[in-house]
Amino acid sequence: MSFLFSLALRNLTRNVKRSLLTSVAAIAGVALMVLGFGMVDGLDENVIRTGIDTQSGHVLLRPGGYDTEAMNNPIDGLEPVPAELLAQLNNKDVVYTERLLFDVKLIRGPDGLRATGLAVDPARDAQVFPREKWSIDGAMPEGREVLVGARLGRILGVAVGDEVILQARTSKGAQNALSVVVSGLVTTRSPAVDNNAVLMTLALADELVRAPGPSQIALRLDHRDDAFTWAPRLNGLGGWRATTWRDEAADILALNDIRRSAIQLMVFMLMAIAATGIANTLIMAAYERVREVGALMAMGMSPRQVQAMFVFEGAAMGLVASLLGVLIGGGYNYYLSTVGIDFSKAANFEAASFAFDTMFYTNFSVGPLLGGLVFGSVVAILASFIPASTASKLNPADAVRAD
Amino acid sequence: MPILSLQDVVKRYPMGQSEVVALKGVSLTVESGELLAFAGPSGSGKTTLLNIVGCLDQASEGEVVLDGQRVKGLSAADLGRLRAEKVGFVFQSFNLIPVLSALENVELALRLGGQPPDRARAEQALVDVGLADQLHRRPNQLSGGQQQRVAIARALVKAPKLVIADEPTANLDSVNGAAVLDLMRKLNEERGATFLFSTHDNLVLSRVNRVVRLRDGAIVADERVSR
Repeated sequence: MSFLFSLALRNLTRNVKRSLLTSVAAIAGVALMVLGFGMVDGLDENVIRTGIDTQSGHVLLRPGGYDTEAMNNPIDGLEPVPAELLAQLNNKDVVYTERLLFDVKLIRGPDGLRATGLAVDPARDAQVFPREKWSIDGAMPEGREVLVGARLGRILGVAVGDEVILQARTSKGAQNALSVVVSGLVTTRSPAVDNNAVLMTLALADELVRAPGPSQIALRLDHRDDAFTWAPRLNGLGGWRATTWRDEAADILALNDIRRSAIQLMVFMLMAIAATGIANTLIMAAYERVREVGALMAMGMSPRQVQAMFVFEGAAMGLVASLLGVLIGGGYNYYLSTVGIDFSKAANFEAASFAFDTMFYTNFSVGPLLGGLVFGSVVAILASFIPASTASKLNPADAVRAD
Repeated sequence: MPILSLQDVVKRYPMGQSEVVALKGVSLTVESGELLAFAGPSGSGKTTLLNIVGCLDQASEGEVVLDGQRVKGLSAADLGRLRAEKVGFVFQSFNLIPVLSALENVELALRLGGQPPDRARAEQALVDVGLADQLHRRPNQLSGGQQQRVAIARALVKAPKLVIADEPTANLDSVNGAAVLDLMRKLNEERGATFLFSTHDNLVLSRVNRVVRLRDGAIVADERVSR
């Protein structure tokens, strides 16, 4: 069999340009597969990590009556943290932070912008939501100070030290306003914060909106998969609902699944084109080499060996194309997984509703490379069966004298 | 013991609604070591007869026995094995594999014949046909005469009982044609292999020991020539 494979490889060199042209679609398909899945997997990881690091932690607890579907961060239905829940959290020595989210208007002079007020205990919050990626021009807020998302501040023309007005609705429905000082402008690489958030202490938020309790409690665990054991344990305590980071990212992960399906469809179409090209090239080769095939059969090559020779040719073409596809797609994927793409300029206000790190890295792993290699080769092998069968059915007596 | 025996061999081909009878009851016995030519005009049945004795095709009727083996009823795979083992072919258009060197072409015949790869034996076969200095050239780097010599080496390397040469000089000039025929005659004498030619070339007819003349699918003369 090895000589058949060696002969098949030699046959591929007869018309290198044709072989390469035939392989273009397969190269593109495999490259797209490797790079596309690297990007979507990277996007998944980006959304999950950013969600955990900026919005949900590993487990997120909310009051039972809190409307998670509402778009305006309601403070109706909030309540003090139930004692049994607090006891459970404190007993288990869990790292957690309370957060209050509410709609606020940030006013500077005649201008104002709607934003999301985010009230936290800065020291405690940092234990759940790490700040390694944060870059603060100024300082964390204390007392009557706020830290403003850098892009929000830039749009409103706010600078460190400026006095601004915070206007919000209290839990009783009254309008309230406070004059505060901008302690700093923060860039977190998450548009949800950078474009939209006004960060302050819980005490200042209490003065502004008089909420009876936090909107949420976020937990940080040793490992994110621990969330799947912790959330069921905490769910329902004091009437509060517990969700995992996966639940919180479900919508955007579902969107990524659609992206993944779209890539699969494109890969499928490209590979269908590739299969057609490979089958066509091998059929042409079979007809061009009728006399040679006849001579080989006359010398004793069996129809099965003729079939194997053409299948090997298809397989070799597929393997070479897949290798090139893996090298191109995998190489670019590796580059993007280490250097990344900076989307900070492209992240607009509309993108502020979900967690996303504007420094995007693709996911590079060996699995998709091997998958691409196997998939491309299998498609080529399947595509070569029809021409191989055509060649193996030649009548040697006619074939040796074909024109 | 005859190397080849044909008894009342008939070959019919379907042609549209009707049928063409290419061989009409051919009977023939060929002894081992003969140098025989089938002669006759186009359409006389030479090629059909060579296809049948070379196991490339089956007779519609009659009996063919090659080196003691009945050919009738053998499957395509069994016919292939029989060819690989007992028959060497030299074609009018050489039919060498263009992506292989002369040496590799000859080695390929050994492999397809079910024999282990033997480079030294393949080299010797090429030396025997006078191509010692052309071993690694590909067919497109060789002249027509040289290509036919490679084809002869390829046919003979596995030491077949029967060598079938279909119009071996048709694509060669007279000088190269004569050289190739002399070579085959020499190998026939030295090795005792049986050579069957199909031809209407007088050059071939002048070098064989037996001429079987065909006309309209039947043997019309069987002449032995002493040289």
